[in-house]
This record gives sequence, structure tokens and C-alpha cells, in this order.
Amino acid sequence: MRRKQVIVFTAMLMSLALAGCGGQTSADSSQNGSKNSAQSGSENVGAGDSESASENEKTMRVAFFWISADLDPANDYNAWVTSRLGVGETLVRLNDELKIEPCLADEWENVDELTWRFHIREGAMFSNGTPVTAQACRASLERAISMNDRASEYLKVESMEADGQELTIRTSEPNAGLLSNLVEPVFDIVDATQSEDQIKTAPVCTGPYKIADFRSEQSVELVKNENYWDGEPGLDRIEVTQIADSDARAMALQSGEIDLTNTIDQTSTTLFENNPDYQVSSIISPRVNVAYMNHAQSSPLHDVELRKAVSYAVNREAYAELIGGSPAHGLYSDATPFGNETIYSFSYDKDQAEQILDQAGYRDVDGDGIREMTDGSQMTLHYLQAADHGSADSAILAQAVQSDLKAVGIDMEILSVENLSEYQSQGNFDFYTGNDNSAPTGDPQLWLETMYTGLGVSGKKNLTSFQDDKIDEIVAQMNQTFDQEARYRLASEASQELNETAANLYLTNSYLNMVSSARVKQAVQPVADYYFITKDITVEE
Amino acid sequence: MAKYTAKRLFQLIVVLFGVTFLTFMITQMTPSDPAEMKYVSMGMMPSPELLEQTRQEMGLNDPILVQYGRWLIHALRGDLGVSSKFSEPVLTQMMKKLPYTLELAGVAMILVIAVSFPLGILSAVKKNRVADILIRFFSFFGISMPNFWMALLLMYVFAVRLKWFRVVSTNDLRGIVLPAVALSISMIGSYTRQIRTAFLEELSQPYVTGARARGIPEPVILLCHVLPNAIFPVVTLIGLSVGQLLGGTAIIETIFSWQGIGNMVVEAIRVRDYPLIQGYVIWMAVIYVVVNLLVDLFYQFCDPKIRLNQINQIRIKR
Amino acid sequence: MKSNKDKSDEDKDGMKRVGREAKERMSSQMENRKKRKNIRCACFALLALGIVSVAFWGYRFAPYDPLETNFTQKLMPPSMAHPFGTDNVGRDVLSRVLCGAGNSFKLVFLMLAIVVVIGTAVGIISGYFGGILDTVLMRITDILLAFPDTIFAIAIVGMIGPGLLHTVVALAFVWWTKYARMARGMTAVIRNQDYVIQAQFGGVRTPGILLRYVLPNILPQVIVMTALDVGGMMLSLAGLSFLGLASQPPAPEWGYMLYEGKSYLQTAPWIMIFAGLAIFLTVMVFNLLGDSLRDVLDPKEWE
Repeated sequence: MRRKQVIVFTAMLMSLALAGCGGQTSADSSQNGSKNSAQSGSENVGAGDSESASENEKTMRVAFFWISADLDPANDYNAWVTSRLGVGETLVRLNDELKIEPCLADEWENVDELTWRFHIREGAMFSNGTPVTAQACRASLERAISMNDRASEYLKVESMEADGQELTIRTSEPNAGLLSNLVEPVFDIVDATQSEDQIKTAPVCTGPYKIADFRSEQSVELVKNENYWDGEPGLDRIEVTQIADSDARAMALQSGEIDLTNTIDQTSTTLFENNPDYQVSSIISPRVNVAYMNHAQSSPLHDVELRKAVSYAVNREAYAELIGGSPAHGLYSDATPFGNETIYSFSYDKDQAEQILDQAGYRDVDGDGIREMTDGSQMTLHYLQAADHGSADSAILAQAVQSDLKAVGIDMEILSVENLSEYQSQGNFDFYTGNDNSAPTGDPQLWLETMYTGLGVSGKKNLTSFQDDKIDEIVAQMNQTFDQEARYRLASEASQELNETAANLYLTNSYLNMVSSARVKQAVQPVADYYFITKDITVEE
Repeated sequence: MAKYTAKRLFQLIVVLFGVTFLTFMITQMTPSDPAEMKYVSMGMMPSPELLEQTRQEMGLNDPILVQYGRWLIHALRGDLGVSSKFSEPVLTQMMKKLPYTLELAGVAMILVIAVSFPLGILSAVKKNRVADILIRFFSFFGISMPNFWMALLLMYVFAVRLKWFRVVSTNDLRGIVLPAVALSISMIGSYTRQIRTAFLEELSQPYVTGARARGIPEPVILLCHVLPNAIFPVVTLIGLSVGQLLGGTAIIETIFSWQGIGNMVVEAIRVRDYPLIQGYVIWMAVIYVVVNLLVDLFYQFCDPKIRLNQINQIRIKR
Repeated sequence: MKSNKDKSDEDKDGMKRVGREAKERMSSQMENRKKRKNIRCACFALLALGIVSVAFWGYRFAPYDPLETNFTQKLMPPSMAHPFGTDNVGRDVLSRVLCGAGNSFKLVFLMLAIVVVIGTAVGIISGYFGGILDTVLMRITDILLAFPDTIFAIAIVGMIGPGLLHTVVALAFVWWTKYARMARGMTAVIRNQDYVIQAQFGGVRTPGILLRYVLPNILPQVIVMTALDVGGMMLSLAGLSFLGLASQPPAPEWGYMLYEGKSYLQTAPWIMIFAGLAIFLTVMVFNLLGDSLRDVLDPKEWE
């Protein structure tokens, strides 16, 4: 009797386990059902036809470190994803010298201090075939401005007028950075006549590829935009997956799961360099690894002497060796044309650091090998470290800084945090780590203004209680200075000022890389890191 | 039987109350103030007065038990709050990811049963012979192996080097094998040992000697007489391993980028998505409790003589 | 007839003789087996002791400072100067493994101490006094047992933030119930034994009974369980460290070393190989020790 029951139960158990798997399939297919297939207006490119892909179709699999929760370019930093996907395009774009190039706008004019006029390219079309008119651009820009603080801050628009292909933008105050700022992907031109839900899952834009399928934070399937204005895109279909972890991306490339990815950690690139099966395209980027220092009274680092000592104590050359890239000279990366070669910057000088500390009164009073505060109390500096795009670099830098500071007798504690912004807003730190784009739009003003002015103003990211009259003045001048070379000169002045006050620890200019299997052609890492998939990338068997 | 079931169900309710209360209390330990978070997430810096008012409105000033009661009523309706990361109800998010985890855990469990039963039986039958010693050694090996270390080594060898499987798991055979193997190895070790022990115990019973004396072939004895009896302690183990399995998925899913609930919670911890973490913990506890209740009831169903205490005995000794 | 009877007597005698011999043989076999078990147990105990002493004095033998970085020597493969190679900032892996042992063990022992003391105490009290107290305590353990340990630790760490201490507290918070359950079960049986009842009549006070009669009887089980748990705890902690939820850099800790080393799986595998091996071997030795302790102290239950 009992035996029978047991057998029955075992069978039940097995079937339960199997049902678990069966349930999975059905859940999966229901997910398929809720997936958003192609947008209205264009031909149907749902997920179903991937099996029927013809043999000579050119496809590629790509891994991104991040795919946003939705694809609305106006929302948060999503546009960086749509831009990387080769879906979204802006009126003007940046080339590899960080200079402005035409894109959807082929001509522009700075009529006066407050007025800008753009001519929208004739024949440019959205991926659904609708022509891109000035009116469409205006609707898209207005949408971005109303939805995104960053967008309104960047443009300072008073009013916009659209007439045929002529778009006129009036600003409320002189905004010399406007042209540059328009390259920021948040200004991706999107067909604003779609419903909000469509824009969230399959925005219709103007780039070489359009969205066929999207899974939040997981994957995007792209197909060629037949209506692309700038020649034929190199591929028919691209599958993009999110792989957050740098090592996993490298391994997926090795195992052949993907053909192309970017931001592989320096050490792992050795696996692909000098290997005929892969190509590595690597550049110094506008990104800088910074250890931001807290200038608030609550932090010992509000003392400029201590900041200077710390600045001498860190060995930037060695760090560049450790994580790749090059030693940083200041606020702006060496990849920018902002005159870094003209400024004075810190170099590694341990003796100098110790001398400054001694003179400023940071001495080891109790003989434990660790310096105390000038009043003799214990000093421990807290360094907040957060992982960035699944890379180990920031952790390595933190430990390297810690060990260099220890060498001059400064005690530093690392806190690996995931919720950096929470600590930042509480001012609960002495250092915090950042890998920041020092010229997000190819122009020097933006970054300087966001990070170093407007203490306590919302929309700014001045979290270190930084205040410097000279910097405020430079930013004010930049607003009025429309000549590019003059702006660059102002930028180098600002860098110099920040170095003189040892504002932050500018550690390394980070490199960016793109690694691909040999079949991928024309995969070149752009200097601006919100570009990735281009119309030129293709595959060859 | 009915009485017993009723008793167990009552116990289940008590336990579930405790579980929810405990989880709620843990949530109260978070360093951040929900009222403040509400504004920070909107990019605002609220004034103290506004904060106070919001706290009042959100009921944060009520006694803790009142807050718990209110929260529980919502939870019972399936409303576990909204995930801050996915800006989606926690329940929706859980429902989306849970099938993946159950699939992985299910496959791992099948693997465990399929491998450890033959090994355990073989080991018991060939007691103290070479096969037994080898199997025992390897089961120790499996138990002592950190599963994440194993997972990385497996991934390197079979995905990166041999390219048989995928680094980033997908929902197909090539994707599920490695994570399932990594998840099951230590359990295969402990199951093999348990099954061996259970078999040895049964083999020394008089009925086996009797059956042998009657000339019943050995395989028949093993499969028809011994196996059904020896299976009992193992079923308890299955109930308990659900906890180990679900806990293990957090690590394994992260390594293999498996889109399940474990991966989700690790990410939720990174971004301090408290409602999601809370939802995760409650769900896991509920699943675990319910599975173990089913195991207990199964016992009762098969053999009412086995009392709860004995089950607990086995449970403790795992 | 007679001869038949004789024969059967003879048979009986013969069988008795054979039985006696078999018994003797058996008992000497048992003796041998017991001896072997003791020897094996002693061996594992020695090994475990060796590992523990490495944990406590290992840092003295570390050739380098485990925190000292040397950027020019990063990711060096094993050599005479660095037998286990160096890590991503040029720290000596051997030194880090040796010093990491201390950190890992300190935590495990701290946790075990908390768990065993609290768990056993609660279990004995619950089992001895019974009644409402017992019911309440057992329901509490029921509730805590509903949380698989890793998941509870994830919850705590998720809510109050990553950190070693948080992890230890979280794991301990659910782990003690295991000991409480076992101690309670055994105490409930022991309570009704003659010697305890006699002691009660003899006027021995309750604390005396608990300490002199109850505790010694459940101690062997507790010891076995403790030995087996060292491995389990070490794996749990390492797993959480590996997720980046426990240790903070740069302190050497095995789980965290694996976390750091996983980026170098291909380019510098020695970082994670040695840390992983250290965990593996330690867990293995303690599992074997626990197992053979169980054989020695509690032979009837198993096999």
C-alpha cells in the first residue's frame, strides 16, 4: 500500500518539476506576446520573422553594459542608449576631435547673442517614412525640454519657431554653449506624434537602425532603417544584449556569443590584442577618473594644504599603468582640445607631500605611523567607492590611492557603496569616486558649470561644497564668449585655478575600447562615448 | 489526517504572520526615511515642515503595529509596493522573474535526483569497496566546493574554452546546463551521502534478509523493497533543499546573468530598492514554508505513524 | 532416532561454537573498526587544528604585508619571490591568503560561538521546562526557520547595507535555531530519564541538573554539529562576500579575494585559484572532521 503511494508521489514530484519547466515556456510565450513588436507605420518586423531570416542577411550580436528601462530619449539618460544603438540622432553631432559636425541640421547660423537658426536637411526621414521638418524637430526638442531638467538647463530656450526646414531657437539669456549642447543625445529627434507608450518602447527616430523589439534592461533587436538619409546601413539586423559585467562581456566575446562589445577592462584586452580572431579599437576618452574631495567644513579636506599634500602623494602614472589610460592633468581629459598642455599640474612627489603635511601641522603625535589632525585628534579619511559599469577599475584606484596615502602617513578607509548618491546628498564622505565625462558635449562650459558652480542649486551636481569666485567669473564669461578658441582659453584658465586650489584628485584619463571578432568591420571606438553603433559597421564572412 | 492538516495549517498561518512581521521589522531598520526618499527621488530637497507633514500623511508617525497592520492588508491584496528601480509593482516584477528561477531550480533538482540516487545506491551496495570509497570522496568534494568558484571554473572551461555552453545564459539548453550544474553539485554530494545512509539502514533490516533468503533477485529487492522505504528521509531533504536552492540562485544567477529573481535581488540591493528586497524575502519564505508543509503532509499521508517530531529530527540532522 | 538426536545436539553445539567464534571475531572487528575510526578522527582533528593555527598565527609567516601594494609587480605569476603570485595592485597573494585565513575564521568562530551558546541554552530551557515557554520558543524558531539562511542574510544586508558584521549577525540570527531544535529534542528525552528524576528527588537544584546531567549528554551532538557547521558557515560567508555584500576592501578575506580575482580568471587565474583552494580545503577538512566525529561519538545513528 505504502509503496504504491510513494511511487505515485514520486511520479507527482517529477511531473511537478516538469510542469515547472512547462510553466516557464508558457510564461515566456506570454512575455513574447506582451513584447512590443514594430512600431506603427513601418512594415512589420516582429520577433516572429527571425527564423525566416534569409541566408545572406547580415546580422551581428552586440553586448552593451547598460540598456535602459525604457527607450524614451527624453527620459533620464535613456537617450545615451538610443544614441549608442544607432537609433537616435541629434541636429548636430561631435566628431573625434570633439568638434561640431552637421547631422540632421546641415547648416546653422548664430544670428545674434540670443538667436540661432538651423536648416534641417532636405530629404531626412524618420524611420517610418515621415519627413523630418523643422516643426517635427521643434516638437521633439520641446518635448525633451519639458520632460528633462538637463535638457532645459542646456538650452535655456525662450521660444522656438519652425518654418519649412528652418528652425529658429531664441534663448532667454546668451547661451554660447547652445550649439555644442545640442549634441547631447537627450536632444535626439524623435517623432513626437507617436503615443507616449510607443516612444517608451519603440521610439521612431532617424538613425540607421530602428527598434524591432525591446525588453527592458535586457535586450534590443534592431533592424535596418530603409529610410535612412545617409546611405545604406551596413547590417540588416543587430541583436543587442545587456551584459553589465565587464568580464562576462569579454568571455561572451571569446565564447562566440557576441561579435562586438565595448569597455572591456584593461587587463582583459590583452586577451584580444595581437590575436587575429579579434580586433581592439582603443582611444583616450574625455572621461576622467576623479577622486572628488569634500570641501565642506565637516571634512578635513576643506584645508587646501591637506588637499595639496594628497595631490602630490598620488602616483597618477602608476595608476594609468594599473587600469589603462593616461595620467590626468586636470579637470579636462587630455582627449579634449581645452589646452591641457598649457597648465601646471601635480605630479607624484612624496617628499613634497610629506613636507606640506609637516608644515601644515599634520604630524604623527602618538607615534603609530599615522598622522593626526592639526589639533592632535585622529584623522581617517573616508573614500566612497562605487562600481562603475561592472568594471573593477574604481575599486583598484581606491586601493591604490589608499596605499599611496598610507605611504605619507594618512589613514584612509574605503567604503564600497552601491548607493553613492545617498551618501553624496548627505555629504557623508571625504572622497568619492567618479568616472566622468569632462566634455559631455564637446564644450568646456557644461562640465565646469555643473560640478563647480551653483552650490546648492538643483540641477547642478556640485556635491563637494565647492565654491570659488574665480570659477564663477569664468563661467559667467563663458556665457558671453561665442568664439571657440576664446572659450578653450577660458577652460584652461579654469583648469589652472582648480589645480592651484587642489580642488580634486584628477587621477587618470580613461581609455575607451571596442572589441570585436574578426568578422566585424569598421568598428571604431568614437571619442564621444554616447556613440557606438554606426551606419558603417558591417560584417564580412 | 484532517485534524493533523488543520493543525499544520494553523501553524502555517502563525509562521506566516511571524515571517511577515519580521520582514516588516527588518524594513524598519533601513537608514533612509521613506518620506525623504519620496522627495529625493523626485529631485527635491524638502523642508523639515513638509517632511513632517508627509510623514503624517504616509502614516509614518503611527505606532509600529498599526503600520504593520496596514502594510499587511496591502500585502494580502498582493500590493507589495512599487519597485523604485523598475518603477513597476513589486508583484509584477516578481512574477516576471520567478519562472526563470523556478526553472533553474527545477532543472537543478532533477539533476540532483537523477545523479545522486544511482550513486547513493551504488555506494551503499558496494559498501567499503572501491566504488563506494570513490563516490564518498567525490561527494565530500562536492559538498566542500564553493559553488561560485565552481561556477566560474565551469564557465571558463566549458563556455570560454570549449564553447559548448553560453557565458550569458539564455533560456535554452545551452544556457541552462552550466548554472544548473553549478547549483546542483553540492546538493548532489549531500544527497548521495544521505541516500547511501538511508539504504544501508534499510539493507540491515530483517525483511531484506528474508527476501534474500527467499531467493528474490537483488535488483528487485533494491528497487521494489528498499527504495520505497529509503526514499522517506530523502523527501524531507528535498523540502529543506528548496531553501538552499533558492538561496544559491542569488549567486549563481549573478554569475551566469540568468534573468531570475536571485539576480534581481542582488541588483535591488545595489540600488537600495527596498520594496523589491522586501517582496523577495517574503516570497522566498512563503515558498519555503509551503513546500515544507507539503512535505510534512506527504509524510502524514503515506504513514500517519511518522510524527512531526521525527521529521524535525531528520531536519535537524541534515 | 538416537543418532539423529545426537546429531542435532552436535549441530547445536557446533552452531553455538560457530556463533561464539563469530561473535568474538565480530567484536574484535568492531574493536578494530572503532580504533580505525578514532585514528581517522584524530588525523582530521590534527589537520583542522593545523588550519586553525594558520588562521591565528599565519600572518607571522606571511612574507609580505598583505596590504602593501606594489604597482610595478602587479599580476605576477607564481614565482620564488611570490609563491602564489601577486594580485591586481601588486599585493602578495600568499600573504593575503594567510592573513585572510584569520579574518575568515574569526568571523566563523564568532558566529559559531553566538549560535551554539544561544541555541543550546534556548533548546535546553525549552525542552526541560516545556509548557507555554516551549511552545513560544518553538514557534519563534519555526518562523526563523522559514528563512533560508542566505536569503535572510540578503534581506538584512539589503536593508541596512553591506558589511561583515551585518552579515555575521544576519546569519547568526537564523542559524541558532538549528541548535535550539536539536538541544530541545534531546533534552525532552533526557528529562524523563531515571537519573534526572532521581536527581530531582535528591534535591539537586534545576541549574545543577541542567549543567550536570542534561548538558553533558547533549554535548557530543552539539560538538558534531559545530564541526560540520564550520564548513557551511564558511561557504555562506564566502558566498556573500563574493556578491560584494560582506567584506570591504582592502582587508584580505577569502570570499572577497575571489570576488576581486574573478576579473582575472583568464589573465591571472592564481588570484582566485589559491583563495578558492583555501576555502575548499578548509571546508573539506572540517566536513571530514565532523563526519568522523559523528562516527566516533554517535556510532549507532549512522551506518
